[in-house]
Amino acid sequence: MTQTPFGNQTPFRHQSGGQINRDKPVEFEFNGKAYSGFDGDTLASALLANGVFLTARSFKYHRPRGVMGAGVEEPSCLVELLGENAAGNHAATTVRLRHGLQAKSVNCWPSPNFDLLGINQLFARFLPAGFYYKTFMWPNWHLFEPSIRRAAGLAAAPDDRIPDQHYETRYWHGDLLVVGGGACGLLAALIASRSGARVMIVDDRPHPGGHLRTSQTRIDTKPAMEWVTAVSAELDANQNVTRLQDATAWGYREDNLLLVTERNPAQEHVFQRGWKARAKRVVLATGAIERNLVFANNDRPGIMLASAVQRYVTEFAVVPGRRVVIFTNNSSAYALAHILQSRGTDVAGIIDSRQPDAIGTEKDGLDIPLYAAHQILAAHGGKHLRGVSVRAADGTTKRLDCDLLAVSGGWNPAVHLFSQSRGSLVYNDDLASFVPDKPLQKVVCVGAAAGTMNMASAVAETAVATAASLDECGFTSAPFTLPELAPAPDYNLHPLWQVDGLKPGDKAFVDIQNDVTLDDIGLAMREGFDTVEHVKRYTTAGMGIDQGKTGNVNVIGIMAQASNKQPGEIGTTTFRSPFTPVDFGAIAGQRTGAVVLPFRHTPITQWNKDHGAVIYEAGARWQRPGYFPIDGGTMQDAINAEAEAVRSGVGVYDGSPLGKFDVSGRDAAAFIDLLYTNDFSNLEIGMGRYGIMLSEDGMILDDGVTFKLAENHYLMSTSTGFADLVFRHMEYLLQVEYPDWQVWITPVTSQWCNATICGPKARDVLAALGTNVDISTEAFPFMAMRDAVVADMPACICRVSFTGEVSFEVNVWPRHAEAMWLRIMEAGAPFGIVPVGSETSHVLRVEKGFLSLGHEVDGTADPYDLGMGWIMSRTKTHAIGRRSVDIRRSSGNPRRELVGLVPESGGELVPEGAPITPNGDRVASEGFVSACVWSVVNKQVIALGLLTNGRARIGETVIIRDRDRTIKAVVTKPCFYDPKGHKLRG
Amino acid sequence: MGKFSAFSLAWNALSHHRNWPRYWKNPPLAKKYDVLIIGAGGHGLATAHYLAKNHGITNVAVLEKGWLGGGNIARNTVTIRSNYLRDESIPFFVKSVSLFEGLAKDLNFNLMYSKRSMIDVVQTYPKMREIRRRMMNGYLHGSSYSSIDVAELRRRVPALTGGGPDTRLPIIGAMVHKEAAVCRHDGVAWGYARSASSRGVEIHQHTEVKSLLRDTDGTIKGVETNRGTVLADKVAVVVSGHTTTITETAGLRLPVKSFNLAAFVSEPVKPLIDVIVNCPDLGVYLNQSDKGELVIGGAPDAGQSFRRDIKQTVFEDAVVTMLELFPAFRRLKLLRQWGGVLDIAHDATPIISATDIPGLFVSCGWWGGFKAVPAGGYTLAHLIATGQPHDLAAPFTLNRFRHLDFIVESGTTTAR
Amino acid sequence: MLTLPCPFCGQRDETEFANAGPTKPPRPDAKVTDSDWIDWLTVPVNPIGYVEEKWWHAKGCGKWFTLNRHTVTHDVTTTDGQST
Repeated sequence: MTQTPFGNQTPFRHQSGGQINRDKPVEFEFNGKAYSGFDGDTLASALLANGVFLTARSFKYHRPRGVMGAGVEEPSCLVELLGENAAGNHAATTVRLRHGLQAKSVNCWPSPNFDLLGINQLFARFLPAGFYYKTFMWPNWHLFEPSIRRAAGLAAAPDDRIPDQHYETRYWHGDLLVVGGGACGLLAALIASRSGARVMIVDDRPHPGGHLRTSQTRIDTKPAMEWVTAVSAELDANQNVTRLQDATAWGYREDNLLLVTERNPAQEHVFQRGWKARAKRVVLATGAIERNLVFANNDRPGIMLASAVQRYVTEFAVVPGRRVVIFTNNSSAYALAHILQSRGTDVAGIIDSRQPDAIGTEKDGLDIPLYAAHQILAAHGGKHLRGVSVRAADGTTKRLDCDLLAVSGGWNPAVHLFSQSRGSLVYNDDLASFVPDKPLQKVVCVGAAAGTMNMASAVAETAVATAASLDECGFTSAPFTLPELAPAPDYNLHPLWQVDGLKPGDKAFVDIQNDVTLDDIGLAMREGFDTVEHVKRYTTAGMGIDQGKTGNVNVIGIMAQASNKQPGEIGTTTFRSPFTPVDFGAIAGQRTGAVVLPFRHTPITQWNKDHGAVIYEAGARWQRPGYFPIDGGTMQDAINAEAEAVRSGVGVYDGSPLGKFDVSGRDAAAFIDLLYTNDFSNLEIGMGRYGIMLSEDGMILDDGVTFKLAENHYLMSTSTGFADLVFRHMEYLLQVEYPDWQVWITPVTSQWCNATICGPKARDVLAALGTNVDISTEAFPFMAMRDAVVADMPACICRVSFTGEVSFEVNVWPRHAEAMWLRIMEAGAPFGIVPVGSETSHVLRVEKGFLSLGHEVDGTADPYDLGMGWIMSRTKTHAIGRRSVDIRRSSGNPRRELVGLVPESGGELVPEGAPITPNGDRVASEGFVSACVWSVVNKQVIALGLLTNGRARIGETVIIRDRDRTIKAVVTKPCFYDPKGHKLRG
Repeated sequence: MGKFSAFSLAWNALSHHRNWPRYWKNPPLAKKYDVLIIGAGGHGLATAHYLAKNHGITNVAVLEKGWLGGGNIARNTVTIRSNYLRDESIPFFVKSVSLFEGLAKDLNFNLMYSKRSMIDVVQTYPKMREIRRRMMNGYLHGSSYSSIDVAELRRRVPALTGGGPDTRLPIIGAMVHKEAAVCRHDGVAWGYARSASSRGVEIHQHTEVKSLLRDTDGTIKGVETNRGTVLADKVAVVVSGHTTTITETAGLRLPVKSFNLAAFVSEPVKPLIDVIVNCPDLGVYLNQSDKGELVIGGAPDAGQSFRRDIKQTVFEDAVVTMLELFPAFRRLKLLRQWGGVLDIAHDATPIISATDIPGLFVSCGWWGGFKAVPAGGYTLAHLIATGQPHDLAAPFTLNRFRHLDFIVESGTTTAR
Repeated sequence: MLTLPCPFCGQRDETEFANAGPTKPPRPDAKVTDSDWIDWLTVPVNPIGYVEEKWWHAKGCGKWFTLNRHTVTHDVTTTDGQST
């Protein structure tokens, strides 16, 4: 046994070498025990350096597990962080070691070493894939569910005890986006940057170089990392280049939009930065991911991917074992053999399943026993690998002792992003894997990501692809000398989907994370799950946090072998974003609160708040006062007071949120007549008319008053909540259906604020404010509009009424709104003026039987139903929606009609929305209560509702149901105050 | 079919599970059947099961162009509920919920059906009013809702720490629909398929219907597939999302459009949320699977699409609105996301109907079709077998369009 | 998230626009049968392929315009067949 050069540091860390910073030791805790590592370590590398090999228990069987990989491909070692980083699951290979880090294994209790659920291993044979579909039915799944949920679920979710972190979002638009900072990625970025293009290059590791960091290759006769350093420096010096490290491109959307999360931004206060990068062209240099081999007990701690071992040795100066065996079906693992040999590590043998004549120059210079045409049948050891059984072609086996097995089943090009971009894949026999075929978007794959395993070819191909992409963007790439790579052995692989000689019951894992074995795949296929998606879903292979990065292609190969098909015929499951898990915070960035839900308010909103109004979120996200609480009174008391004031004195409300549109042009009148069901052609200048707009379906879209300002000039008002929809409706009609009409629509909702003074004393208040127009009834009738000066401010006064009282809507410019409001409150004080909220408006309009779009109009009522047949012009019948109304009514089916309802019981309100049922039975409804309020003027509860054939049932008693409570009510006409409208015309 | 039970599981363990029979047989494709069901999704397979079980009609072939259960049954967020608004809709969904409750037993298949309750988290008064209306109207038909205050909401969903009084949109109350449930969606497809197959129904995967075939008198006579012609006097199109693609081959146009609807899951975490949380004001809903993943959904994408993918803006909106209610989830991670294609009718209410082409039936317009799978299959089977719509599905026929008698479930939650 | 070609503003992010669905055939006149009216109102084209649809630059210049968009690839072309 060769002398191992382990020094006086932790037992598996070499004294020199590696890319860690030995000047900065880092203390951390794992499963409650203290350890130390170095800055630059991952949690996994530090654990391995400390000889911690048993780090996890598997999901279903609770088998002992350790670290298998070195990066995002890690299927096995998931940890939970503690303290202020306690947030879900992390692969230990992706956790950067920081001072004070505390981590623990998931899925085991009390520890991976002694796990109570390890007992599952004894029951393994009763727990094949899909076992839960066959049992747990009796007596009820509910009995079993809580314990199964507790046993699953891995780490705890983050809760509000961990400090909030700052996630930022940035946008990038440019010419070329390069994903991957290895040889090909750096080269593509370099060529592009020299052509003057705007370039972004993202790499998911802390430092650039990719595979070059761990291989022994030379570029231009010098160590490869020198080239990497020089290129990175040149890129960083170019202000057209954005280079991100520790940044994962995780999603590829439409139109070359890529999503990137930067995990360690240079700015201290930024926890993570999410980029949305849109590029004219994308180059995917994402490399390849090594896959596992399938043999018995291939999951023991101490069994790792060969590329992972290579990374631990070269990047972290950790050799996680004292006696190594290498098992491979391809040439790439020999690079590890060379590295180990040069470090003096004891390598007991290379087990190569290929035939001797397939093994080429990769073995030259190695002084290690080579077992060609041999396979590993089984690994031995429980909590740690102790040895392997090596099987010859004739079936004879031989035991080799070892504590580290480096496995290479070949490489899968990382086609995730390419596939997300909707490019198609094709199976490649040489790689026994899937490679990019036809792109759908403007993207090209290079290097190992494209299936080009030879570095020199990859470099050449990259230069060509980059030049072509640049050309398509309109850039000419300058002449370029390719970096020269030292010759390397050709990549050669012979697929080995499963080893020979396995027996049923052998635990040969295909998906390590979800404990899916070779037997499970066989079972699935026998039971009829013979497409790749079925196998995945039935066995759960590929559904773990690692999304099957090391196992999925093996599943496909095994299925192909079992069904005598080609892997290409089996196909892949769908590659879905994200490539690796992404914090939701990084997706949301700073979009919270009012940024997500912007709200609208008027110049009076603050006054409302200052005066204690309870603010409601109304339609179109306007903040409106619901009511103004009174001292020592309930909400009902406050509403009653406001209503009383409006009916007998005066009130004022802020009507600014109502939609307003200036409609003008040669065809404005024709347009108004197209929109509204009633006839506007005889509307006089200076007068307004209430109108109803229908949707194409013949439902009520909106209502409001439109004023004629001049010939071909109107001011249309709409509801608050539907103003945006009406605007869209109008623009659509004008631009798409009637492009020859000359009509201009200017939204002026925000250009006019109004304070609406209403009540018998409204005129008095207006007079007290001072105005230059005659405001008597004769001079200023109901529905008229006057330009005026009010309280020394320019105003436009409209006599509309939504309350049923005399009402003056005083419209002013927004900069005068607050001043006008204050003047009104001042002038109105002697008359007992009160501000009025939407609750009171509701009461007042119910008393009048005026319609409300959110109450009576619930998507099923037309104007006839609401007793507004008068608004459906008999002569002008072409308005939008008329035909649909007629068709609907032509069925002759009974309609629900607007009625008033007076509950027989005393003062108790009936819940709005309560159904009315025949005889009060618990059967389908015949109507519902659309509104119910306490009427101050009538001193009783009144309601409005929609009732089948309601107008013919006036005087009848109907029964309303609130679940088991029945309420009798008399059907009345839907108006409880001043039915002839004398008051509002006063 | 071999019975599933703990005993049979243990027995089979002795032979390393090498003797389990196929879940569904793989027979050759015949030239004629009594009934063809196009689409081996949730509704198609359920229809096949009920045709066999309730009506004794077994000379049935289910034709699936891809892999069994690979459509929306494989992609949905498994929300089972009956809290609809209109009298026409509620009884159908109440029936579906009740069929779900007994389904594991009926199919001898563990669907991991779990009663969870759905809690609507309400932030505006108009929405509260609408949900109260559902409560009172639903009560008439056996669908329950009850109101809880914010304190009780926080107690039941401790992870819901957002929406406090000082936030942008404070929560004003919540409503609990206790019948709501979740279950394993693939299990529903496989369970129905296994049962139907055991009763003699044939399921043919990788069999794509290229066009419907009509006889000279205009009636349906069968279909043309990639494996040849198959004749039948009754053909049902049950391929939500791709309905018009098929019906147009017979000259039948329908008032439906296809849309993309996406969903996503988080990494698996320890049990955290026991209920289905729905927020209609924000348009997001979620529940936690038995494996620990949070399953989250939002609104469909605007614009027609068959893409089955992610629209970034729609996805981001679902994430940010979820975080408004669950701010601590900023540190939780997205694991996977996907899209499906569904068709939505002009009034957004489903269609289970005969058509103007004698012998041709459609079941489509399913926006929120997973919860409807049992009742959808049950009533479509009735319609095919008897020629008359089942009472529960009578409002859903195409006849409602003849007089524009829409069933308007508008203002409904995005939880479907 | 697509970028779309507004006739006035050029290529802009999809988020600035509202998709108003497939172009409707011309509004039928009053003489059509109820059945034809119902078809015009409720039955859309629903192709797997290019659909001609109306878009509104709602958060921009306000222009309504027409595009062809493939309902699977989401490739967008203007109505004169130009790829965007």
